[in-house]
Parts: sequence; structure tokens; C-alpha cells
Amino acid sequence: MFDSREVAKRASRGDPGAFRSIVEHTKDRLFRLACRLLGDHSEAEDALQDAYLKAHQALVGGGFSGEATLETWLYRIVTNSSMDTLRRRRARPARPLEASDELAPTDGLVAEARVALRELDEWLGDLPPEQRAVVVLRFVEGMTSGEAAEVLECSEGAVEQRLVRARAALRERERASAPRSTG
Amino acid sequence: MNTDDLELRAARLSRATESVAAPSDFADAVMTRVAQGASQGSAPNPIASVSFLERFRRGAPLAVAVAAMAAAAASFVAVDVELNEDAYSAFDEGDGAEVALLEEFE
Repeated sequence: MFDSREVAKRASRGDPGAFRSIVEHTKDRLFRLACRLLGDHSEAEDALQDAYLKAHQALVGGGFSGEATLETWLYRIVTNSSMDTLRRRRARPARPLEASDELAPTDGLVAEARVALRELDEWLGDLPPEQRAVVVLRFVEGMTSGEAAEVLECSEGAVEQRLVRARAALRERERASAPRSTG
Repeated sequence: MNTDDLELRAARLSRATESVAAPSDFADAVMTRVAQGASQGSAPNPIASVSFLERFRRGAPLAVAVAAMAAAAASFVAVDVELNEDAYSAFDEGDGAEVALLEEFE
């Protein structure tokens, strides 16, 4: 049985086997989270690797206080790493689709999931990273406002406020892209 | 888009992506990078986002960078820093919200 508190303690003492078991136990869920936040499996892979590196350095350096559960703490690091990727993406011009972006089979990713990730990315692509993260955590990951607030290190009120803004932005974009009726 | 539309679409996309899993060699790749990182001995801030510092490089006022460093330091020692959403938003819009941001740290 995976005892996250005990394994985190061993990993913080530099036990590589313990850290590996953390990775093995959490990688699928966290990869799914990063994919949903980023809509791109390659970027998700990079963001998650960076997140695990930061987690390892923090564990060994005594940066994991244990106030949050190990899973919540990892969710937080992965979410921050993904939001940093989104900010970098917004700061550079959009990359045109390439042949390799088409629906070739990818390890761990079926075609239906790739289509859905692309739809997610296009749907939420215009939102600021903080609002996008709230939509994903609340309605795609299925967290409560309290859980999302813990991951994002903000108040539940801030989560709700970002949701209101995200809804308004999505509604506005839908209105702008709807075909105008001619009369 | 009303509430139901947003939640229904998100739920549909959630189900459609439920099968997503990390590549089979992912743990090996992470452990290789961990081993490389350990041999290099680097230790960046594990939690705080770098976005504030990136903004500073792009010309934000010095006071904002100081506040960002305070935020990074606070999160590193696991102090519960809670930023006001309005301060974030106004800061995003570049309308002098550094004052509001600094007030959050006082």
C-alpha cells in the first residue's frame, strides 16, 4: 500500500527508490492534469518533468512542510508549471499546425483523447492562465472550489471570481463568433 | 454560454480525456533528470511561478519585482500568502496595481 506521508519522508532523506515510487504512483493523474491544462501532450510531458524535478529538489531541501497532502502539493506544482508554460506560450506567436500534430498514435494517448485535448485547448485558449486553470480544476478535474483554492493557493472567493470572469469571457467569445442573422 | 453549457462541455471533455496516461518510459525519464539535477546541485524555488520576474524583465517597476521576490520567498517557506484577485487582475492590466499588490504583503 502506498503511504504518501511515509514515502515523502523517505524521499526527503534522499531515497531515490521512494521518489520513484511517488512518480510511479502519481504520474498518470498528473500527466492527465497537465494535458488538460495545456491541451498538448508534448508540452504536458515537459511541464510534468519540470514539476517532478522541482518537487524532488523541494523534498530534499525540506520545502515540503506536510501542511497539504503530498498529492495536493504535487497538483500545485504541476498546475504552476503548466501555467508558466501557458504564459510563455501567450508571449510568443502561435505555431502553425504541423503534420506531426495530426492524430498519429501516441504512447498513452488514444485518438479520441487527442481530439478532446485539442478541443479543450481551442475552447479555453483565449483565457488568462489563472482562469483557464480554475475551469479545468473545477469542471474537468471535478474539484470543489475549496480543493481548487488549495491547489491554487488562493481563497475560494478568488476561485469563484475567476470562474465568473472565465464564463463571461467564453460567453463573449461565443457571441462574437456566432453568425449574425441578416434581416 | 450559460452555466450548464460550460459544465456539460467540461464534463464531456473530462470523460473523453479520462484515458490519458503518462508514456510508459516516463518514470525512467524523470529519474534520469533527477539524477542529473542532483549531480549539478541546483535548487530553484520549487513552488513560486516565475511570471512576476518575467514581467520585471519586460519592464515592470522595481517595487513590483521586490514584491515578487517577497512572494517567492514566502511560498518557499510555506507561508500562506493569499493574493487578492483584484490586485492580480489590475496588475495584469498594467494600471498601477503594484500599489494594491504591495498592500497585500503588508
